[in-house]
Order: sequence, then C-alpha cells, then structure tokens
Amino acid sequence: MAHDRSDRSGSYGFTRRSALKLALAGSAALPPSGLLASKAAAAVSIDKITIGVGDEPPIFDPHKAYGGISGYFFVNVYEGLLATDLDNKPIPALATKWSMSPDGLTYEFQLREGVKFHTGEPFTEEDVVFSFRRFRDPKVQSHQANFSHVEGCEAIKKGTVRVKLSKQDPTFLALLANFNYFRIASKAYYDKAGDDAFEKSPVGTGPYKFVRRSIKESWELERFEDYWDEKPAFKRATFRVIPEAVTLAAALKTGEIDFVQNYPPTFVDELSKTPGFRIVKNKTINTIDLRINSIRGTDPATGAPNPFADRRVRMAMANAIDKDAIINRLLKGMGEKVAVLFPEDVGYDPNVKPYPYDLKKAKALLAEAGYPNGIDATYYGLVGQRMPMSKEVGEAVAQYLTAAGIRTKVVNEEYGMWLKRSNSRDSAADVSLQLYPFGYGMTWVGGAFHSAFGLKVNAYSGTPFSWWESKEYDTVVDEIWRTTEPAKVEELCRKAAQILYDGVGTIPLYRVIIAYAMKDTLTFSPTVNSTAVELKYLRPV
Amino acid sequence: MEPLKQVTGERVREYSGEREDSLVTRMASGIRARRWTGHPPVLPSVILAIVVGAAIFAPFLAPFDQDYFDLGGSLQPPAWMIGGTSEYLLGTDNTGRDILSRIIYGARISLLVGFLAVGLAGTVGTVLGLVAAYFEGWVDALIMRIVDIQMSVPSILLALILSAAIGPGLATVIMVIMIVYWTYYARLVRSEVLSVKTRDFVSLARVVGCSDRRIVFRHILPNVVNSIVVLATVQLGTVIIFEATLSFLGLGVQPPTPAWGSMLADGRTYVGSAWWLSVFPGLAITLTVLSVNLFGDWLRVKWDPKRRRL
Amino acid sequence: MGRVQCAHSATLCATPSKARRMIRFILSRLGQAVVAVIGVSLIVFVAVRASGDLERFVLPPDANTAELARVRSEYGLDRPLYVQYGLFLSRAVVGDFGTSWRWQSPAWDLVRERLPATLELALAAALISTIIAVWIGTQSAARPGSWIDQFGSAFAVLGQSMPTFWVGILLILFFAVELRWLPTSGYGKVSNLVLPALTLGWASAAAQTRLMRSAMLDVLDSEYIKMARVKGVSEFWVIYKHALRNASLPVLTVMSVQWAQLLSGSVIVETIFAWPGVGRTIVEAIFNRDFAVVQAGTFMISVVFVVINLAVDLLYGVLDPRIRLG
Repeated sequence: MAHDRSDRSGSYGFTRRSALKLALAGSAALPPSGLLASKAAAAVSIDKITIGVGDEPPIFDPHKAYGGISGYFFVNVYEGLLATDLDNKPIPALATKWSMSPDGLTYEFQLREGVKFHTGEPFTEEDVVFSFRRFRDPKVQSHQANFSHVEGCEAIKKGTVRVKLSKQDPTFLALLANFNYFRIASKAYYDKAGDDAFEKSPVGTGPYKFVRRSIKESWELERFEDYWDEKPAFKRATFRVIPEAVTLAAALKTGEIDFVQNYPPTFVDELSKTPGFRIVKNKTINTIDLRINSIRGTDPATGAPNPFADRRVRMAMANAIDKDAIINRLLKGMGEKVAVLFPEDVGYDPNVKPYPYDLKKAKALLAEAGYPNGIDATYYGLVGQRMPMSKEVGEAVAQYLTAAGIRTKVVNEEYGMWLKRSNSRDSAADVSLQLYPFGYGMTWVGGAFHSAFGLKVNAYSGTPFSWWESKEYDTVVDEIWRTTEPAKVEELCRKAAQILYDGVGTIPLYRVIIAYAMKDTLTFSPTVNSTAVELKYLRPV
Repeated sequence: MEPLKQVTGERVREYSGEREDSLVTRMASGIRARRWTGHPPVLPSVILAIVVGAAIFAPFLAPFDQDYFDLGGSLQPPAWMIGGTSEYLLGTDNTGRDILSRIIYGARISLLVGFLAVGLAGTVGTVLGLVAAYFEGWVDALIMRIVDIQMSVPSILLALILSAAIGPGLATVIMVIMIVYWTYYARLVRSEVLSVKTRDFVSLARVVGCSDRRIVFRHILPNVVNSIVVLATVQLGTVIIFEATLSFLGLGVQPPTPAWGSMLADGRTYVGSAWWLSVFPGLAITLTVLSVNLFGDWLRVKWDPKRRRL
Repeated sequence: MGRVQCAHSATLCATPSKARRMIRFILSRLGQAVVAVIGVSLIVFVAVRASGDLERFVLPPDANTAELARVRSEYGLDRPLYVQYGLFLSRAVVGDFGTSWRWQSPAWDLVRERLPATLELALAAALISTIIAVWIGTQSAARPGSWIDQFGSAFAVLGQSMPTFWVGILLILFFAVELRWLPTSGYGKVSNLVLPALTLGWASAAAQTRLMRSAMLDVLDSEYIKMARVKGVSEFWVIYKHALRNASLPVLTVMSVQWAQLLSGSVIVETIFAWPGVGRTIVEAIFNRDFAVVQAGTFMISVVFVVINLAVDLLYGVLDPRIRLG
C-alpha cells in the first residue's frame, strides 16, 4: 500500500507542545494575588441603588409566602400591626396601642391614623380584618400549624380591632411583629384587582412600593412618598438576582452593584482588606447544630441499645468538638458559639456557657457510659448551595468525634433527602430513613421570633424537629405557654433552657454570621437576626 | 458536555464512507495525498502516562493520606509563596488537606470514573447498536426511538434529576454517566454496521454465500471497533469534565473522596483569595482532557477508513 | 440487490417520485419527533417524582404528617402514576402544564417567558462557534502544519478541555473584573451577551473546527480546486468561494448534535452569568422539586430540539443530491 509519509507536524495539524502551552496559559492565566483587586468604587447617588442577592423570593403575595427568603421583599413593602426595633423587640407600627384581656385570650389594637397604601387607599380596620382572615385561610397559606390558635379578628369600632385566641400565647406580640406573619394588605385593592394582582403588582403600606419585576433577573422598588414614618434615603432600589457566588462577588468589585446581601463567606476576608468597600456582619437566626437521635431505644441495624440515648455519650460528643477551631479556622470567623439561647432572646442566661472542648473528659465520659472502646456511627450531612460550608463542617465534626472514640462515617445527602430524614415525626414509618444516630441540623431554639416558640418547636417531645424527650422539659414549656406575664415567661424560658443544656438535647456548633458587603460610600445597620436588606437602615455616608 | 466529535465522525463517515468517494470523484478523480504520522503524539502520551502512574502508585507518591486534615493549617499557599511550606508543596485547602496528595489520589477517582463509566456505557451502547443494525425492522426502530428520546433531553438535566433521585456520590456519578452516554455508542455502531452492510464487498460476500454472522464479525466489526475505541477515548475526557459539572451543581463525588472535578467546583469560591484550591485541579483536568482529546484525534486519523480502502 | 437502506434515516430509499418521497420523509420524521417528545415527557415525569417529595418543599420543614398528606393530595400526587400521567397528557395538549408551587403561576408561562433568552444565547454561541470554526478551520487547512494551524486547533480544542463553569468564571475574572471591558452578568444589552456566548460557543467550537478543517483539506486537494488554481482564480476565492461551499455540508450535519450540546451547556452558563433562561429555570426547579416547571421546561427543550433536528435533516436532504436521488 502506498502511503505518503507526512512531515512531522501531522495532519491533525498542531504539535502537542503548542497545545499544551495554550492549556497552561488557559488554566493558570490568573495572577495569584490581586486578582479581584478593584479600582476605587464610584460614589453612590441617592437616586438609585443596586443590590445583589443570591436567592430570589419566589412569591410576593403577602399571605401566600412562607419563609425567610420572601422576607427580602416583605421587609420593605409590607408592614404589620407591630414591628421590631434593631434589637428585635416589638414596637408599634400600624397599631399604636394595644391591650390584652386578663385571661390572655383577647387582644385589642388601636390602629394608626393617616396611613396610606401604595395605591392611595387609606388604611382602615377593614384591611386588618381582611388580612388576618386571608392569612388564616389554608387555601392561601398552607402552613397553619403555628397560628391555629388565632381564631378571629373583628373590627370593634373605627380604628380598633379585636383579635381572639383559643389559648394563651406569650409570643403573640412577637409573632405579629415578625416580618413573615400577618402582613397587612389592602382589602379595597383586593376587591378591585383580585388574587393575581396581589402577586403581580403587590401593594402594602411600607416605605417602598413595588415598581416591576422580571423573574430570575431582578425586582425594582421605589420610595413611597406618603409613607407615615421617616422616609428612607434612596429613591429607587433595584434587587438583582445573581445565583453564582463568584459572579456575585465579582459584580460588587466591578461596581455593577452597590451592595450585596449575604456576601459569600469565602470572599469576606479578602474584601475587608480591599479599599473602597465595607463589610457589615450580622448574626442570624440559624444555628448549625448536631442533631442526635436520642429517642430511639435501639440501633435500627443491630438492635443493640442506642448509645446516644445516654446523656453521658452526648455530653462526650459535646466535649469532643473544638468549636473555636471550626469557627476561626474553617469559617474564618463567620460564626459565633452558642450555648442554648441567643443574647437577644427572652430567658438568655449569660452564665450558661457553650460546651467546652475537653477531649480527655470526652473519652472519660464515653468509658463511664460503658463504651471504653468507642462506638461506630454515621453522620448524615447536607450538601448543596443552601448552607455554605455544610460539607466541610461535617467532615471536621466527624474527625473530632473519631478522635474521641466515636468512629464516624460521613454520608452526605441532598436537601430533599435531608428534609425527610430530619423530620422526626414523619420518618418514623420507614426506619431506614430515620436519622440515626446523628446529623446536620440547621435551626435551634435561639433566634426564633420568641424564645417560647423556639423552645417548643425544637425540643418539645413529639415535634418534628425534636430528637429528645424529657418530661421535665415538657412540663416547663407547657407552663410557659399558659403564662402571659413577661417576667414569669422569662424565668420559665431560662429554666427550660437550662434543662435542655444539662440534658444535651442537641449540640449547637455555631450561630451563623452573615456579611453584607457594600461600597464604602454606604452604611448599613441591620436588625439583629435579620438576613434581609431593610432599606430604611441603608444610608449613604 | 456532549462528545460532539465522535458523532461528528459518525455523520462524516456515513456521509463519507463509500459516498465520500462519489462526492470527490464527481468533482475530481484520483486520490489525493494525505499527511499522516505513524507514531502517537509525544506530550499527550507522556501526560497520560503520568496520570495513570499517579493513579496506580498514589499511596507511594502522595506525601499525605487523602483524608488527613488539620484545621490549624488550612488555606496555606503553595511552597514557593509567602506563608507556604515545603511540607505542603501545592498548599492546603480550607480544611487543611494537602492539595498535591489530593490531586494524586484524585487521578484514581477520575480514571476510575472515566474507565468504568465509559466502559459500561460503551458496552451497553455497542450491544444495543449491533442488535439494532443486525435485526433491523421493529427492533431497530424501537432502539433508535429510545435513543432519540434520550438525546432530546439535555444530558445535564437528565443527570441532575437522576442524581437528585438517587443521592449524590461516586456510584451515582458512574451510573448516571452510563445512562447518559450509551446512546452515542448505539448510534455510532448502528450506523457503521448499516453503512458497511451496503458496501459492494458485502453484497458480493452475500452473493458468494457468506452468512450474515460471518460478515458481521469478519468484515464489519473490525471497522466498528476502531470507531468505538476512538469514541471511548475521547469520552474519557468528556466524562471527567461531566463529573466536574455535576459537582458544580452540588451532586458529584462527595468528600472525603478526592476528585478533581469536586475539588475544582468546591474551590472556585476561593478563586480570589486561595486560588490554589481550584487552579491546580483545574490544570490537572485541562491537561488530562486535552491529552486525551489529542490522543483520540491521532487515533481517529490513524484509523480513518479512507486509508484502508485500498 | 434488494432493499437499500439509507444509513441516516429508517426510510426506504426506493420510492419513485421525488416529491412523494420528500413528503413521506417529512411525515415520518414528524412522527418520530412526536414520539420523542412524548417519550421525554414520560421519562421526566417518572424520574422527577422519584427524585423527592414535593410536599416537603412546599411546606416548611416542621410540617406534620397531616399537612404533608394534605398538600400531597392537593397536587394529585397520591394517585396512581398512570392516572397522574394521563391527566398530565390530557392537560398538556391544551397547554396546561400545571402550577408551579414555588412561583404560584402556570408553569408553562414561566418557561415560555424564559425561552427567548436561552435561544438568544444558543444562537449567539452557535454563531461564535461557527465563526471560530470557519476562521481557524480554513486557515489551518490552507496552511497545514503551520503555526496558525497548530495554535488555532489547540485553541479550539481547549474550549472542550475545561468544564464550562470554569471557563465562564475565568472569563468573568479576566474580562469583567480585571479589564472591566464587559459586565459580569445580567441580561439586556449586547455587552451582556458576549461573555456567556463566548463561554458556550468555545466549548462547541472544537468539533466544528476539526470538521471544517478536515473537510476543507479534502476539498482543497481535489482536482476541481487544482483546476481553479490553474485557471488563475485568486487564492482568496479558491478558499472562500469554492472550497468553503463544498466543505460546509459535512459541517451542517453536526448542527443538530451541536444544538443538543448548546442547550445542555446553556444550563451551566445561565447559572454563572445570571442569565434568565430556561436551562437555569429547570435546574432550580429540579432542586426545589417543582415538578410542573421541570416537566414544562423539559417538554419545551425537547420540542425545540426535535424541531431543529427536523430542520437540519430537511436541509441536509435538500442540499445533498445523493440523498435526494437515493
């Protein structure tokens, strides 16, 4: 066969060397430092501000939505009867005065006068009645379990409403003050425009009104000039949705956006050293904790008694984890140690300190509980974009526990499966799906809109988030929910928290701290526990 | 990312198997000279040898165990920079693990995923393609419809739904890749077998009295094997990148298992501050995939049927 | 000799009339397309229901069993699978793909509004890919073995040797952050389109370039071209008029596969660049177990895909005389 020998460069036309040179250039094209070095940030005009967010609130309807992300929109557009100050304490908003009946089952609210909705209608008691009814309608708001005791709301006379509860609720005022619940919407607007308009062109009484929205891109707000309270600084605010963390950080650097809500934690260190920008940190309501199944009597696989039902084993775990290292080294300071409640919470006791890191004590406790040779365990972790660092935290925890004798294997699961496994009431049916023995948890008692709520929902026997049972604890919590006198409530909360701490109901790892990043021509003072951008606290320098 | 090239080859070949001659001979006559080298490209081969070597000898080459980490030493820069030590040549990641060791062990995972997934996909696809081309008729139609259906969904979406259903992890990645990529082999094999079947020498063989099976195994299969190997070689690179994409979406290989793709995806948020977390795995991926591609190109040219014609 | 089967389509080639043949071809391909789209919807329907419980995402994490059951029933998920699918099909025919639990709007509207953005991106990427392929492919073929040939081809293959998200991030860091030539993300202006299209287009340029180069090499060696050169036609026209035209046909044949790659890659590119397209919508819906949106989105993508395939096949049939003549 006759072949023509080619020249060495080959018919496929390029030498390996040149290709690889290009490859090296391609993937290592970045200078090591100063990559995200910025030019000086331009001054921000009071006319317009652009804010970058990583998550988009899907629903703008005030009564249909449920959950923290919707708050990004709610806090600027809607208001409730009460609001919270910077320390998360309830203050008057659309209600100026209120009173509670002696039996704690009836509340009367005097409404503020001279308030207008964004479309110009005046705010009246009819709107409150309408809003309460709509929010309590299971067809509108599917999750009613936490307000099933709010029976009705009626207008007594002009400017006054009365709310009836079916049982006492020491948290009721805090509930009304929270930006998620019972937002006031306009009945007149609803009658005129209907359900659809509530979502497509929402209307409230807040400092900003809705201008337009482009799903997956942005939403725009404009200052409401007839707002009843002090007017905020910026005339127009555009919220841009940028899901990818690297792009979000880059957009701030280039000046395309002026402000970033929940700035990616891995970029915080570097930005704080960059001139022209400012970082404001805020503590949030999330506590990352280690949820331990102490309810099960036996190990589902082997049938042996559940070691983690023993308080000493749990205490050993609590002492085995070096939280300071996790917070300072892994999270680079974007976390805070927690014992049970947060300092802002009702019933916080500064004498209750987070579980100390004491490896010797941990091993001793394990031996005392009857496991001198250690225990084998599986940790169910969470992966995905929802919680940054969840993977690494899990690995660190597993390593610490293994060093103390609890040989931990890590199994990471995606959010859907994690939800199933984390619900102690639901997974009871399918034993293989039950959380055993422990795993990643995302909320704890601290940071709820009221301690009583947090203490009930997270640790009371039989609730979906609770993985331990204590009659003593339940009794105290029951009593809290029968009391309405604030001093008594506080004392009982402190007591319950102490029981929880001593019993090691779970092991808090850290309280999440988020960062807001902005050009240094801006300043921002967020409400504690908040992750949203309340524009009224955002001001030019 | 779809392995575009090999299906390109399929289309070109079906276009240019025997018919290519008629196109050219319509415009011209004679056979033109082609440049061609007999030996494989040097640098890609060397790089691939290094990767395979790293995978096999990882425990001896890597300075640290793949799981070992120390939070105290996290985010150390590479040895030649300020703050770096010679202990961790390429620096450490956010939990303090040695990047060099993870890259060496990561070669194992990447190659494991590559060979296993591509092998499975190739086997399933080849068998089904052969079946389709051999039996023709409704069997062919059924298999090709399934292929059409599957190829109408962007592969990453299918992979994502399946991964969300099964749960993240190494086994899932391999299984998902197999499910996504078998269709390319099926189409390629089927079209090759069909096109060879129509050739003059096949008809001649039939006239002479050779059985179908003899034709398939003696004449058709040798041609097809070459194409399959070329496809598989290039898909090796594609699969490595696919794993990285799955990790980017959060559903790839899970820690502590080191894989270049997940190292790159997880490290990307440190690209401004601790660039070594992502740049080194990125380089490993790029060099390996580039070498695999170039090698596959060389194979394709080497085994081009136009040259075997005479 | 018996029946001859065309390798690229299951249609028999032995029909007498050209027009009748064409029509049969179109109808059969249409039939295949419909089957493909329905098949896709079935696979996605089943897979997405296996991927997790929608009700757990609708309700907050502390919902109790009763609430979960109620929401499940509200979305019709407690009925047998075949009943659900039957209902889905019967509604899909009239354009009702259900309501997105997350956005509380019709899923089809959500997806439909995002489609133009994805098509814009894919078209721009295809254009860039073609430009790269034509430029590098022809230059390489005209001067095989040269510096241009080597680096050009290496450049083309490089786009396929890096994960798309990494390419996107690198481009953002270099062109947007470092050089400030282009914006990092967003949608609306042409400048927003450049980086995403470049990222996506570079990935698919490799195969096209290689194919263009090889096809050009073949054609440039042909007697026809030699004749043109002897006649004195300038080199420029030789390459761009005569050779390119003939080399284009094989490149066209990869278009349908290229589109699959583009639609697939757009999923990643849209996320990185905050591009409001269908791909990103579907991905987010998968993570949120928003079944209606996943179904509507994949349906739309598969329809786009089969339509493009059909068009390419038709074009191929029209342009290639051998197919026409059988």
